[in-house]
Amino acid sequence: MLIAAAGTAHAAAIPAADWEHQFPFPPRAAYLRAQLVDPAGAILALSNPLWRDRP
Amino acid sequence: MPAPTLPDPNVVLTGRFAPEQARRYAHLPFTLPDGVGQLHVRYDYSDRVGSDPALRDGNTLDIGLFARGIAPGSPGFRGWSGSNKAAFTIARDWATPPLPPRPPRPRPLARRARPLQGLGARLDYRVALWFDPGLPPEEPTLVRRGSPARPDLPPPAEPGWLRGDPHCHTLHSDGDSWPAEALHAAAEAGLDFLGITDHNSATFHHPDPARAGDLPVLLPGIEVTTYGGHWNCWGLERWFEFRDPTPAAAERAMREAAAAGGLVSINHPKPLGPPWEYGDARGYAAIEVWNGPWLALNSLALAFWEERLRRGERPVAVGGSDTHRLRGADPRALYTPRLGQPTVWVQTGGARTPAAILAALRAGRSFITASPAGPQLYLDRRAPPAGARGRRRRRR
Repeated sequence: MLIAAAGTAHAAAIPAADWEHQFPFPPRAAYLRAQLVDPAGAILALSNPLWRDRP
Repeated sequence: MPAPTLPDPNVVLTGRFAPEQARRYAHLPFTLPDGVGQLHVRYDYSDRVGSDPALRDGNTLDIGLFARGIAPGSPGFRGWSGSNKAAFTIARDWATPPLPPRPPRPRPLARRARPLQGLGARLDYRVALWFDPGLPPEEPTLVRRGSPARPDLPPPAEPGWLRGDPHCHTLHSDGDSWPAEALHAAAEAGLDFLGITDHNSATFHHPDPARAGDLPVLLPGIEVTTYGGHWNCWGLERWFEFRDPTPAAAERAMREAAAAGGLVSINHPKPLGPPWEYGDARGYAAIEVWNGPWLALNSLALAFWEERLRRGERPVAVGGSDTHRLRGADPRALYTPRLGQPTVWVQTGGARTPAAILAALRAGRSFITASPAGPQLYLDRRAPPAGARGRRRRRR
């Protein structure tokens, strides 16, 4: 899941052990962060945000 | 080990704390005669229960020692063992951790009451002091020796990343193991760095340089433990004011730590964390959004962090196992944290120094996973145009 201040911006099932994908940065989002969640809803991993105004 | 039999103490301090004195410290001065080379302290109090915030129906009385001056930042602070140790000794050449060995001086003893029970509870205390009782040094018992066996874990999927656990405790507060054992256990968990963050500690561990290649990098730190919440400071070797449980005092101490170059993190802002009661007190750069197993109410800590992101603040997320016990589970606890659960991954470019690790944490070049095995999660920005790339590697 990619999450912005407004909520979930993108969500995808992970089909492979080593998986990579590109997503567009939502137009008005100040930040975007990622988290991996198991089917029961427990978080397995989470990232710090990317900020739109910070390269 | 049973406490040694001693003659009558030289000084006995007794008294009572009323419910309105809960969550406050009292300073109990006593006079230590000149030339005393060893001070032994034992204390007890009524209706004693453990310090776990889930416990009720009893009292917890914490204790610390000042040798000279009790003002915030005083160099006379000798250490604080909370309620973990009912007896301790300080002598010229040895001391009960977390106290440093040093000749005692005739200055005040600091202590404080925390009745956990509701209205009507009171606490009767007795502190006994022996001058030069001739106790032998307490020899450390190490259950982990030799070279650690590192597990076979997936390497970082991208170069320049390290994995570690920035939050744990040792015998220098309420942990059950020595700092050297914690580093050994961290290596056996597959970690590259470990933060030892003992509660209100005034002593800091320095690993044997000869074993630097064998053990994880040690992040110096302290968990400033107040009655309104806990916060970590990494990168400095000093204590910070913990006795005043007000938002203004907490903010003042956090700002002082940050100004001195420390990386400051609000710890476990969630029920039973214990929680963070200082509202919008500022001065921190990070929030521990993941403390121990995820299901231990960490979704509330995550919400605490996310609320601040939505407000435009930019604290970085960190995690920490808050491990206390390496020699066995606590039979009274709902769960026993393990080193690396969770694990914090940092991008240092391969540098294995405390400064590089703290710089990566401060900059948010990091992610948090359930264990040292992952799953790894890399998020970065790629052009064009303003895309975000996520990469995940499954744990084995």
